[in-house]
Amino acid sequence: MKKIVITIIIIAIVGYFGRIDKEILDELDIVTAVGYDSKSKNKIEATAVVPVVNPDKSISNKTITSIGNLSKETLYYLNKKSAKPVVNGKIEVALYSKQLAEKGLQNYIDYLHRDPSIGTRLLLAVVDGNVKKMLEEPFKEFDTGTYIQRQIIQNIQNGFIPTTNVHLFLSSYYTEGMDPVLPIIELKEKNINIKGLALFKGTKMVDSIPYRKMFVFKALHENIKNAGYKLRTTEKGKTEYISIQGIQTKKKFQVQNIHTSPKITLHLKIKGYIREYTGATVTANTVIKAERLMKDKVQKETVSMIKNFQRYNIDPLAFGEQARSRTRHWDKKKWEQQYKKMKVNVVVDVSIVEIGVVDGH
Amino acid sequence: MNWFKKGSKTEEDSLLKVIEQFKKSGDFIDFQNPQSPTHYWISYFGSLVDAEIIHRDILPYLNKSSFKKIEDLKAALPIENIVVTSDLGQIQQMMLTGSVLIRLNIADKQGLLVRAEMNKAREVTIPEEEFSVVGPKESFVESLTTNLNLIRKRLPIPELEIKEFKIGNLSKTRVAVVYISGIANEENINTALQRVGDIQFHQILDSSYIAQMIQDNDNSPFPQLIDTERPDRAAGVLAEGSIVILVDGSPHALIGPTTLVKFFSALEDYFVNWQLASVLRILRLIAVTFSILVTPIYVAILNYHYELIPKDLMATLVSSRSLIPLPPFFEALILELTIELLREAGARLPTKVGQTIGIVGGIVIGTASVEAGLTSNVLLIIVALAALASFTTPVYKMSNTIRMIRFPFLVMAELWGLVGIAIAFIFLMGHLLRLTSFGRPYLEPIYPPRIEDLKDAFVRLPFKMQPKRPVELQSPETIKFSEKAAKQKKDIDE
Repeated sequence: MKKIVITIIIIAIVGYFGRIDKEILDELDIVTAVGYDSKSKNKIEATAVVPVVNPDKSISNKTITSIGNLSKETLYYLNKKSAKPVVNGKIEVALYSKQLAEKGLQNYIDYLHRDPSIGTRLLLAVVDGNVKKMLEEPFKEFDTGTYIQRQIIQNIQNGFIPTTNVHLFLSSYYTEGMDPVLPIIELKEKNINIKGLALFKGTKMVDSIPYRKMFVFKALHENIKNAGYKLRTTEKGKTEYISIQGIQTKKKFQVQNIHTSPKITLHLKIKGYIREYTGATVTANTVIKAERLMKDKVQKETVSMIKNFQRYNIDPLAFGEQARSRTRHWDKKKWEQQYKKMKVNVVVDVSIVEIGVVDGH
Repeated sequence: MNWFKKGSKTEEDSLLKVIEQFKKSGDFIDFQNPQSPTHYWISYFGSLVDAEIIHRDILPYLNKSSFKKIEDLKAALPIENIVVTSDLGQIQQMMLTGSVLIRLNIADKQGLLVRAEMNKAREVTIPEEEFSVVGPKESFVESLTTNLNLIRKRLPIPELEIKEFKIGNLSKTRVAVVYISGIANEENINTALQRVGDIQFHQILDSSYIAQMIQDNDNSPFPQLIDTERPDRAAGVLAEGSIVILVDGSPHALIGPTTLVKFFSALEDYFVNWQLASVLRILRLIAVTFSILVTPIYVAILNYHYELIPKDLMATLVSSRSLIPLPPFFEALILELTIELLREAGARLPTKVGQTIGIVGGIVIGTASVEAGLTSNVLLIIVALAALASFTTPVYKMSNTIRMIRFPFLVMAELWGLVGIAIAFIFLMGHLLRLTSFGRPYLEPIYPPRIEDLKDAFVRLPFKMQPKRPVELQSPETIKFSEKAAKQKKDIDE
């Protein structure tokens, strides 16, 4: 009996005083997106989006803004402006203005990485324009944070954005011989538009790729499972368009002479099917032509893209990582010198597997 | 009250004194028949004997002819088991269980005892608690003889042994321990016999009295003996090597040793094909886990772990809770208590009223409390589902336990969130691991792990694949049937 009483007393004491603070769901301001604008030389402006669920189940947006020096500090100041405690556990997107990205994201990402309640599947993006304005824009159906997250995820799965999140960003940042990339989005006529890709050297944005070249980049960066591509051709003096859909790509690296004068051969296999042709009929010739056209175009773009990377001395396609993982005694410094003059061969192989149910002749 | 004592043989006692004492009861009949050729005294309890037996089988023969000695009378009566004795204790005992005492003279020390007890038993009916759509539709009744008959009918073998005890110094209840010798483990039999024999209590009204007195851990909320109202289930476990305890006056048999998973297996599992049975068992186990954990998890997540809520669900949860003034714990507690109230009220009331209560409570109170903003509709769904899931347990006593152990989990969830639930779960597992049934581990196929027994635990594999008796029961005869012969398929031509 004595034992039981003591046990109950201990459980009661530990249970009551050993609690952590409660965070009751409906009494929180749950942030779904944060954005950072550069305000003045050393100040940044942080904007947080909080979805407000109305009793009639519609969702509206609330944005809280504060200005401070560090990102952690500014998030802390957000609490000051809210009736409910602001919590970070559900942040899905972190947006950075282009100016900030050009200055370097180190300080702002460190915080997201350090907070245990923030998941590493958080998406990062660079915004061309005012971040605050973008986050204040209301979208139907979802709150702004969820909306942007859904759009980026959708474009990762079915579009040209390379797979990205905090974990991958940091992994490519810390990996030797690899540089991170992030998507660039903008607010265009009340819609979120994917503008291109930001190329980073470390955590500093140095260059960007426009949207039309993102297909090639994604194909070189990872295996595409489902995408579309458009080709332009002239048939009997008329401009015709071929739309290739359901594209699947596979890439393969071949690295030679790593220690002396490295040479990389990139094999890129593209498979797809013709879904739309503005010309008369799709013939066997058209297929061969489309294959050749696409092959030439992709090759040309690839070569110029890689030249560009070499000029900026960035390595988003992880050639260095490929070389490092294939040899012992890989020297980073030596590699960086070699990288600029390195020869990259690109072998593209396009095959059109079908042309749709309307049979050509 | 010395007549309670069996065989009280003080010298002052005489048969007359015993009769005198019986006469104090209004239902005791003691008369001399002057019209018959032989004068005799007949005495019995009117409420215990069957008047028809007396009028048909005793009185006509007594009145027909005259007797000199009481032994002549014994030969004349067409009833067996007639006892001629002067043992006062035996006379008392037999008269109190429905025998008729016949004496030739009022002062005789010797008397003739004829069994004429009234056998008013309920008809064998359809099982109500363990109803199954397919399979036998017989259930135990209150009469021990009928119940034993129902079992013996299914096991017509000489090895089926029945040991009877009389327990309760007031109620003198007949308790039968049934087992198949050679199949049931000797140690288990001895444990059962010893524990039943050692019971000291004044009154046994039901088999649950026995269950509570012989179970291994009295402080456990978990029942350690299955109680069943199905004779087919009793016969089934007897054949596996378990021990069945039947109590006169109780329509429930006790089964032991048993394990936790057996409480979640219905007899119907053996009547349908094994795939379906396995699916149903897994469904039941999921339902039980769901029933215990879902409300605590709701409370824990809403209190401490908002990060775990999927984003699409968040709007639903927040909007359903936005107008509720109570914290999640009290909200859940109120709803859980309401459901328990409804269940209790439904169980205490007559069937027809009970159904109305269920509908009134379920629909009216539920909707009203949501509309009044006292509980969220998400929680209402969760609690109702949890209640529904707890009803899937085939053994009633286990479903009561499941109802109960939800509340400590709820308190722990309120205090420490998911960590609290984990701690409560550790305590529960620790308790279950220590629990035994007739000395055999309660959590058996899981711990200690017995691969052979897993064939009939969470799933039920085909009969052909289970040629052995459960390891749990430690039967000396481990083989149920010859696996080889069962596998052989005979051709028509042979």
